[in-house]
Amino acid sequence: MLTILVVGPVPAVVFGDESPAGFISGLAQRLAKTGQLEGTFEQTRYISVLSIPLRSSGTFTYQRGEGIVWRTLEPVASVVRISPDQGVVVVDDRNNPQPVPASELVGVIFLGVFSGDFSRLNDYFRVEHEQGVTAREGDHWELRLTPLRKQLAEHLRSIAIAGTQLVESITLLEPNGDRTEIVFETTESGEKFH
Amino acid sequence: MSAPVMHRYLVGLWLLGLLIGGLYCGERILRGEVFQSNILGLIPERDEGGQSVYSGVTKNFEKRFVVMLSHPDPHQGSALAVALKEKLAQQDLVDMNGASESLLGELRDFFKPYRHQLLAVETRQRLLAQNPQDLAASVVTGLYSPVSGFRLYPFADDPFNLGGAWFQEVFPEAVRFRGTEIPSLRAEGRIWYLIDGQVRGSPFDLASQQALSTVLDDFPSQSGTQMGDADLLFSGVIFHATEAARLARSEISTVGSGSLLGILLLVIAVFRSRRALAAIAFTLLSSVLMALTISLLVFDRVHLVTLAFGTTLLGLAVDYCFHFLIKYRVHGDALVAGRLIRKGLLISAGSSIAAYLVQLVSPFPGLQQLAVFLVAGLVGACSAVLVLTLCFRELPSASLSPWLIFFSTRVEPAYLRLGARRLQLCCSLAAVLALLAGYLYWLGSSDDIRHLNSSSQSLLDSERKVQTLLGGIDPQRYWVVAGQDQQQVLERTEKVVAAIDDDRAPTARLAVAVTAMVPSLAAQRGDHALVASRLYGSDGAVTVMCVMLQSDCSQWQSLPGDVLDELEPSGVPATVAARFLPAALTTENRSIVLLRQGALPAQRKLESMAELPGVTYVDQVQVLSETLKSFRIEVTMLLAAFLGVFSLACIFFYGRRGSVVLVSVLASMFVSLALSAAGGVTLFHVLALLLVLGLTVDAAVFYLELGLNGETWLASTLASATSILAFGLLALSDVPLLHHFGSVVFFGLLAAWLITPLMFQLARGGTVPASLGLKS
Repeated sequence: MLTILVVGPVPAVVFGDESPAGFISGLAQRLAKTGQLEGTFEQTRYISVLSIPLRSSGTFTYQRGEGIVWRTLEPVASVVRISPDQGVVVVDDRNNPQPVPASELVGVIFLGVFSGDFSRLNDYFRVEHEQGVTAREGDHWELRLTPLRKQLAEHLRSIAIAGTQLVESITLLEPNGDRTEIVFETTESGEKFH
Repeated sequence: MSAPVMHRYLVGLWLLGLLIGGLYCGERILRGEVFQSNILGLIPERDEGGQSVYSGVTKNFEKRFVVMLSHPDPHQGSALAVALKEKLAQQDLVDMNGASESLLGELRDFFKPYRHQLLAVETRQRLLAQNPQDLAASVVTGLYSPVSGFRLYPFADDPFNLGGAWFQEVFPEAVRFRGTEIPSLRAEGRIWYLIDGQVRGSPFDLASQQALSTVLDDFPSQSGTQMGDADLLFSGVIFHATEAARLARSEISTVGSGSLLGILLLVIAVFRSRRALAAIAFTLLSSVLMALTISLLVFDRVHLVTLAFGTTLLGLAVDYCFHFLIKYRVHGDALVAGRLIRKGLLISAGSSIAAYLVQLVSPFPGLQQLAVFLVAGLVGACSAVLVLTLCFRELPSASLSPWLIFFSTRVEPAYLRLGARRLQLCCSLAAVLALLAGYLYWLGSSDDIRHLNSSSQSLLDSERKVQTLLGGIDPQRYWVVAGQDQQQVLERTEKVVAAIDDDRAPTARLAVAVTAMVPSLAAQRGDHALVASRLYGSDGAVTVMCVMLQSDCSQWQSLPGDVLDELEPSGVPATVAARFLPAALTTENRSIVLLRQGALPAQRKLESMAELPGVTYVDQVQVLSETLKSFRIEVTMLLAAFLGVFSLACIFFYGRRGSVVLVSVLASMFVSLALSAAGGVTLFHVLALLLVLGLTVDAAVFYLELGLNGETWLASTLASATSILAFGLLALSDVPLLHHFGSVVFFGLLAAWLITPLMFQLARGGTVPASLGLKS
């Protein structure tokens, strides 16, 4: 099931509606304008039965309409491709795509967040704006995604997405206390052409 | 007691009988559950040694139904699917599947202690083939990857995800679904929402069908514009049963109305009398009430196909009344008319009844019911006509002269002319019969049960599409594996599965067996030993993995624990087993191995598996088709024997003139079969020949008894016309069985109506009037 979730950067904008629903709607609209993204990530997994956290890093690219390529470089190289047509596939050493079973949800979440299509996320999560300083002031903001269904909640307690002008971090909390943190650094972004 | 008083008593008694019959039928119909529509109810139950398995497989499958909904806008689709599921759940006779979350939890909890002794085939192969380094590296790579696929147990409990792989092998279709409120999957760029459930009763119960069809029929209109471009797919026996029942009801209505209308028009055209119409209505009412009452007394339920076919009874029942009314018109006295037709009526009805009674010998419950229905109906019609001879009075009304003149000026001369060419005609007839026999031999037979399917193409397409989306199981072909005890059954089952799938990739495996969920104890011990040595041993993969992850791994030192020798199919919770058909059907001494839809192993595999001890291959389609074939042969032999006995009876009663009946019967049978069995002769064609026989004898006997004259010809023409109309309408049926019957009898009657007077003329060797200008 879901193990890690990433989100793309959010351009700095002036939000006209500061209610939670309005904030999320505005955020989604702006994400929807993103045409392409490139960046690096650092991921840290805290698994209770392991003595030390697992740290990995790599790059990601997002192209609207084509999907996401998630390239883990250290300490173990792997490539995952997520596209609307093929879903989630792991690309092996010979460049052959291998479908990942039961990964439909991961694909929906990845593509939903990158494309700003929050409506697809609403099928699975309650999306809430954590009250605090608003994006109007260009300060820190945070979204919390809570699973709607028990089946998903048994694997994932919640997802926290935080950022200022861009999404800066994402944290996944599992029911047993394990957690995964991903920190992003976007190196290139562009709006889609109209 | 004087004769008139006795007659009044008899008439009163008959009317009282009709009243009682009417009340009984009315009460049964109002009470409900009188009619059934299961096409398999027409076919005898099989005893192939695996009948209880067959019943189990069939019953398990036949109650399930699936509706899949897709909308270009997934949110609309989701909302519509939720609404539809809610509406279906409100039905008393329907249970919706919806507890998959709790079911998954139950399954996970139950199997958790056994997770180290239940391996997917692919996992077993990997453990055998890979070294500990590769096995560990695979897990570590997964931990650093953003996606790691389905997990049944947390990493801490099952670091090598043995449970996830096992679950995916048992329920490969489950992991394709998205965890939306209504389970959904993406295929060909569309999202399909799954709404599935079971009907509580039989899918052939009209109440079950109504519970489902009411919602599904009304849903598009109730949803209004939301439905828009939504697509609905249906899969399940109940949809086919509902369609078949609707078809049967529609055809009962069409054939019944058509027959009644035809009879009405004929009576008006020929008799022009309200009393004649009332006499015919009385005969029809007596016949139908008698047929329905006796059928309901003998059988719990009457099949809709019986009723649809039984509507042709209207055409048969009215025949006797026509003969009576015409004789009455000529002689003006009911008792005289009765005396004149009595012998012909009894011989004619007797031969028809005998022909139908032969069908009682048939092992087909549907045909037995049909025979009882028609015999009772004919007895009712015959009795009603005899009652009419006691009480019928008619005011002076239009003469039959125009029709009788038509016979003497047009019909009779034509037959006389033909009869004059005796030699040529006999040679031609012999040649035609020989040609037809050759043609029928060339046509051969057709016994494929699938040809009896009456489902529409759109429903079949819908069914196929759902099977493609969900990857269904073929309920028609499977292996039954028997053994002395549970473990022997499981070990034998594993051999069958191995024989089917050993050379196949894990994703292309065909067999679906209980051993995927619960292997034999020997296999569980083997898997446990493999896991203990390859994964958790001192130099196993877990040690390597912990080095790679720089962890002490104390958590897993106690794994995998001791093997647990207690997991058997009977111990699996019923709610879990119910979702995995092979588990649900496994008993102490038997299991079944099913195949995925559309797949069939090579013939050599089938043959090699037949040699395994305790293993029986069952192909329901083949078994049912073989059943049809053996019954077709049996009924043909029976028909031949009946014809032999019948020939002797004809010669005994009518001497040389009996050849009229015989040749008429043979010619009608050959013609009808040749014209209606283009796709090969089926069991139902042969059975319909019995009806042709009975009806042809009807016509011939009346000619022999009453002579070839205008009155007999008119009565015979009217009788044939009504039956030809009824069976002609039946020949247009979309239900293959009814179509076969209808077309055979239609052509048979037509042939009998044309040929019988000619045969009579030939047998009579009649002279030709000089005015016709031909030698006799």
